[in-house]
Amino acid sequence: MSKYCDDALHDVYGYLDRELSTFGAWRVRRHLKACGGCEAAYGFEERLRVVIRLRLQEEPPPEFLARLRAAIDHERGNP
Amino acid sequence: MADRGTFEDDTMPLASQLYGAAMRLTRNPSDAEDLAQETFLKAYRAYDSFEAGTNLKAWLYRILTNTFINNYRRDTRRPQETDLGDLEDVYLFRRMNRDTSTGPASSAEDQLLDGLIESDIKEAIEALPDSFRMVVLLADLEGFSYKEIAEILDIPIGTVMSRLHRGRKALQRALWDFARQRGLVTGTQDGKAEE
Repeated sequence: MSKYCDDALHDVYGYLDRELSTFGAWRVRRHLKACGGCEAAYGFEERLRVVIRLRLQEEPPPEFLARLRAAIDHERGNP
Repeated sequence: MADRGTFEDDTMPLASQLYGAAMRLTRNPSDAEDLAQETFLKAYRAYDSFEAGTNLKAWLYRILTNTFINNYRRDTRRPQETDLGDLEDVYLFRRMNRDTSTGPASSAEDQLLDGLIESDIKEAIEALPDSFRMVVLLADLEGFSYKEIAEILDIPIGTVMSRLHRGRKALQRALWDFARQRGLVTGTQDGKAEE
């Protein structure tokens, strides 16, 4: 683990969120090419966020949309 | 200015997604439906003031989170950035990695990521303090940018980043605990014991 690793791992969210500057992102990519450990850490973070996103999906109950439309229609009739 | 006549056509495609966020915020289906419905009714009433062509999804989430903060939030303490402690970067990866010098085998990663079930992740998210949970949901579930989140929640972008970092790491610590309980990893120490 070098100082470069600390910097790269600290930037993991900024990088995966696409919020780093062009230079910052380039510096991360350069480090990942040279460092298998950090590349593995980035790969893991990326997979984890996909898993989190997929497993957080929530379908509303089947009547939800109909009830919502009815509520809006009611509001429209009683401004 | 947006036209109320097109309100349903414009907003209903986002309704299921807003319900999902409401569910993670309120933690139960009946409050989630109430919160989602209230959000849409407020949005309908205010639709004249929405500037057509701007970010409708962000506008709806702003109403959703404001309504949640005002009506449903139980955790009313002023959020302290230190509440969650400051865990090391890539926490979960490091925990898996701790006892090996070569990094976790990809099979160990698969075992962890495949083994964490829906309820683990939902519970871990729902255990976060409100102010952190909102930021994590807006980023990780809804894919908003830091700037959009700052506007939705009306907080500085630095606060968004700080809560997102701490919230995600706290989430990883909770997931590590679930993984240990399920025997998905062979760690011997409780994450909480190391703070």
